[in-house]
Amino acid sequence: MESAVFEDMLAYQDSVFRICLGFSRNISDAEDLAQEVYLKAYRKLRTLKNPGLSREWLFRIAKNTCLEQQKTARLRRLLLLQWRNGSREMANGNPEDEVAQNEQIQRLKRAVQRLPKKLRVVLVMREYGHLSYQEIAATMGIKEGTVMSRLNRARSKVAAALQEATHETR
Amino acid sequence: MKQGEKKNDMDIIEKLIAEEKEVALRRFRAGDFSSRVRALTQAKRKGRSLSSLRLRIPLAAWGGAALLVVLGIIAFFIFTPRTPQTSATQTIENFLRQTPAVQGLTRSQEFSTKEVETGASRFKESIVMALSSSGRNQLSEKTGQDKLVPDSRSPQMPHLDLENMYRILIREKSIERVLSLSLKKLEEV
Repeated sequence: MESAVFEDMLAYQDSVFRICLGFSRNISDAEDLAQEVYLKAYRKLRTLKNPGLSREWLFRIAKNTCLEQQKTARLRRLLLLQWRNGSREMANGNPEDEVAQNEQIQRLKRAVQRLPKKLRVVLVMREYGHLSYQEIAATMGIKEGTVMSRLNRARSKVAAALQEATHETR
Repeated sequence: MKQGEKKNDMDIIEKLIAEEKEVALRRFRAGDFSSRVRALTQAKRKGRSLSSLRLRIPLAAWGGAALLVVLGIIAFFIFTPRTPQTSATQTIENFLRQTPAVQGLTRSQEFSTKEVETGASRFKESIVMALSSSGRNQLSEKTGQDKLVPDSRSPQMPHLDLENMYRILIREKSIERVLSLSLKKLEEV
């Protein structure tokens, strides 16, 4: 029974990966996160009361795992930054990854990272995870209207940040 | 105008996100994520069953050891006689033995018993000697040697006539009889 539910959950791996991609800084981090999400889901499978809601349950685990990881990573970066006396290289992450990826995508990433947590989660769920308003509301435990308004604010902020970055480079 | 700009920004964002997702998904799908996760969960399941087995063995061992200890304690209480009074008496006795007055008393007792023992043994030795000497005299009488004849080499020996000699012999015989009787009594004791 449990293994069947878990096999069903593996069908959502693309969505889980995309959500992790939205929260993480690069593809390899997103892959590691997606793996962690599935392992957590496997460990907590017994706590799943309604197998019909396994999709939302899995996305909630994905969201929480990514936020936890971000918190840890931020703390680690801060400590490393202090230790290395404000090294710019460490503050901006792995430079190889940045070169490999498009500069504009990096700007977008940074803009998403700077969003407040509530807005960031909604934006990632919608734009990266392809979740419907209803699914986002169920995953986060909020109303659909709140999801829509937060998504609007998040998009506006990201757009403003992107414009700002474009002006700075010019 | 503003609406148009906003829409343009959204398009840019969506385009950027789509671009990022496309590249990332291509790489992700090439990695065979499902089989990797399945292998990991299998390993976890095996580890879990092994750890539960490992947990069960020490639990059984600890349970057995605890049971043995409890049985040992019960056996000790059953088979050991309870003599709290004796032990109390022993304690008092030991304490009294260590006091100087009692120590002096025991020392004097030991001395007197030693004295009695040495006195008795001396008495016994003298009896045995007397008897053996009388025995030698009897033997010399039988062999015809007159021991009572004074030796020329011993000047302290007085000269005695036959009547006195007989008198002494009779006394000796009676003394010998008394001594042999007392020796018997001593041996019996």
